[in-house]
Amino acid sequence: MSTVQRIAALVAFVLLWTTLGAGTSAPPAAAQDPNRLVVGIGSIPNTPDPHLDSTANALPAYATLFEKLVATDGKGGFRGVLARSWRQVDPTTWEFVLHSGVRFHNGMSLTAEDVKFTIERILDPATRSPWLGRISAIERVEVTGPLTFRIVTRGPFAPLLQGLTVVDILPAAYFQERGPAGFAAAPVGTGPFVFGEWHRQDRMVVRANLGYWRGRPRLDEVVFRAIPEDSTRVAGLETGELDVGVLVPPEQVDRLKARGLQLGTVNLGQGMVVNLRSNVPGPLQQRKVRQALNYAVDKEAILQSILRGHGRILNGQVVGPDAFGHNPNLKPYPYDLSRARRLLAEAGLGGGFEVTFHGTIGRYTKDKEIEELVIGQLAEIGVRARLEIVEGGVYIQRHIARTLGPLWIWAWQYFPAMDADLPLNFFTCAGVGNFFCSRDFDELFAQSRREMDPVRRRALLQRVALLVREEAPVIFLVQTPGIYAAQKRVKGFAWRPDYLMDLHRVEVGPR
Amino acid sequence: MAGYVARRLLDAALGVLGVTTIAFLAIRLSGDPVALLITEYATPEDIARVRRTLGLDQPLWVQYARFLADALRGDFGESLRFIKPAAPLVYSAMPATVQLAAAALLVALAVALPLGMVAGVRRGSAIDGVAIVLATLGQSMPYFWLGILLIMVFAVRLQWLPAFGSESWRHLILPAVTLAMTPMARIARIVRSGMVEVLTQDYIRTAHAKGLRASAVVVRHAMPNLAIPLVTLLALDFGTLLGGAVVTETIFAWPGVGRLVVQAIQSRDYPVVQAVVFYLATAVVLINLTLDVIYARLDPRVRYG
Repeated sequence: MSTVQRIAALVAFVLLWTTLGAGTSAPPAAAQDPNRLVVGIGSIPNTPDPHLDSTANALPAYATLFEKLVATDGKGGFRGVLARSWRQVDPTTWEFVLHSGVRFHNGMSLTAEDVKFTIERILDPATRSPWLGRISAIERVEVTGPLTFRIVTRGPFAPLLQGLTVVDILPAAYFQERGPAGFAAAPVGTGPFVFGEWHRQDRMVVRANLGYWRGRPRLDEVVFRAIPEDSTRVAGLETGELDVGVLVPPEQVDRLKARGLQLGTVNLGQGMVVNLRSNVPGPLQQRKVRQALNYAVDKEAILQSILRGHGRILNGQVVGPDAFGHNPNLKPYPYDLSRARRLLAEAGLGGGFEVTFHGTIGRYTKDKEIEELVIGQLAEIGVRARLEIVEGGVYIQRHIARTLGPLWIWAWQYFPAMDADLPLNFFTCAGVGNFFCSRDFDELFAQSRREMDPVRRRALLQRVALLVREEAPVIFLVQTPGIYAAQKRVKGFAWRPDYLMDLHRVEVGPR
Repeated sequence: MAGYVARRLLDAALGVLGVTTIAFLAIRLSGDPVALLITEYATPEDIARVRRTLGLDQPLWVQYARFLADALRGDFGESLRFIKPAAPLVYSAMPATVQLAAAALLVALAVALPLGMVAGVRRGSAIDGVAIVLATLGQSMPYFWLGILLIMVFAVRLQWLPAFGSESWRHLILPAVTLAMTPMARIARIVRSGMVEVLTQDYIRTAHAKGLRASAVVVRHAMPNLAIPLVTLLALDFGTLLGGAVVTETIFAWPGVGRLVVQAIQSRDYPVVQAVVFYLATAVVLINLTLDVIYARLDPRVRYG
């Protein structure tokens, strides 16, 4: 053989060997087994440790393995999950009683010590839990009995239960014995499914917890597949490789329906708006101008022509009726160009003005189309907005650093706690990345945070909402739709506004 | 030879250092990674604390010096997203990408070599026409578009192959073909034009004259002379292939380095970005180095000067 031939043979061998040899170890996870549900979602948890990933797509997978003390009830209130009951002893002390007979997947019984350990772990900055901020008002947890404990907060902190809706309870003894890495390799919770496999950026497999304290799930196995590309997810639904797929683009709905899939839409706990920077000199400092922009945008057109009827128009507040603190008496700003022009003229800006509009592509459902439509409509009243697209990775940071805008698209997320307190916190003068500042707002909002009586707190948040509508610190658009599709044989699947899925009761029929 | 290799190794090290420095600066100039770690209730104090913990409150040159010192020991810090050391994350995603790239190269060579050869020998024929059209299409089709098209045809319509995933060799076919298209087009082009040129050479006429069969002339005399430009092309294409893998892996949900780095960039997970850039730059530079040495062996006219 000549040198050339020898080298060619070597190259061919190396290529063949790597092609056939590497990486192919796992069994196929296609939707073959009648009792297995394959869920296609944009990403899976970054780690099986639920305290270390707060991304929305991670929440449904974590919820199969772990449980919280409380959950929202979908009507602005709370229901106990691991907590059987709770009551407030004084403005800073809450007393909880756990359900008895709850067992972790390793057979250990749930006790108050596990709750104390869990909360302290999140509170420890060394853990680097992204959930820390939600419960950082907690000063300490006192165990008062095997199933009873007290949570003491630094000062009155009304949204404590909201904070607890993200806290997955872990088994203290097991965790301490295995350490963080050992726990992440074989996580144990109290949820309806037990851990099976986790392959980074690829899939997570969970299996039925036969001894689940509320009865075994009907499915034997659930596979969460990370599929970042929307078109691929839709293709996977069409080929039957996926049983369920979430975040289906609105324009694909008819196509999937024609293929015989079931389609559903949930209005996610996420209010899409255009933020208006009014705490720096410029036209937006005038309330009339901000209101004019709201009158100039046709929300119905966004809903019908871009989202094809999926989603819900925000009625002059950043949360939908599924949130605690939603004000049912508010109405959306009507689409009224002459009123918008009049308000601009009254503000001395009858000739309109030029402004930068920062947008994204692919960060939110149909964001680019919505940005272009809004800009076109603002042009009708002489507001000439220049669209500048900002790369997704730096969007939040520029928001926090206050270098977006004066106009920029944004979605205020309020799941899983489903409470208006979450987004409104950013509208305070001292809020992270704040862009609006009103003393009246700050006073009223602070009052709501100190108010421990839910009825009075709701009324206060509703007053805050009214004030926000009048002040118009944003252009209110829509509540983002979460469109999902499921194969015909899947029974009982629904996606919830808080991004979770009740997989406990889902069934899969024969193919 | 030894002196040549040593000099090339030094060049390679400088190349890797340069690329890594650019990555270090680019990721810092384009945004603040702290945002990834904070949630709704974070206070300015929380943010300051996180920044201190990560050393992001230090001047840029201090951060750079620290980064270099750690990188030399193979330590790129901890991924902000996965809360794990960044380097092993990259190693564990590497086999999937290498597999995909190798399969793509294999597909590209398997199609482009014979096609380019025949097209070159039969210049102006129908096969030549097909080759030219294929080469033009292959080089102009975006990975994204081609990937989705292949899924639509072979997964959705014909149901022959899975649409996504990485579990078996069947899952490899569509992404490999997608990724193969660009190198395939380039290889076919270079083989064809090389063949056309070589065939006019005196030694080919001599080979014909001494009564060799046409196929033997091509395989034994023309092809070896094509090996040199081909090796150069493969070296250059390796980098292109890794670039294409970023898109291809995202479309086909292939869990390799490409997806790792896309998501790392999106979330400003800078330790992972730096580790990926370091290892990919090293891989490209090493492959180029190896091929340069091979090149010198293939062509006696090249001196290790």
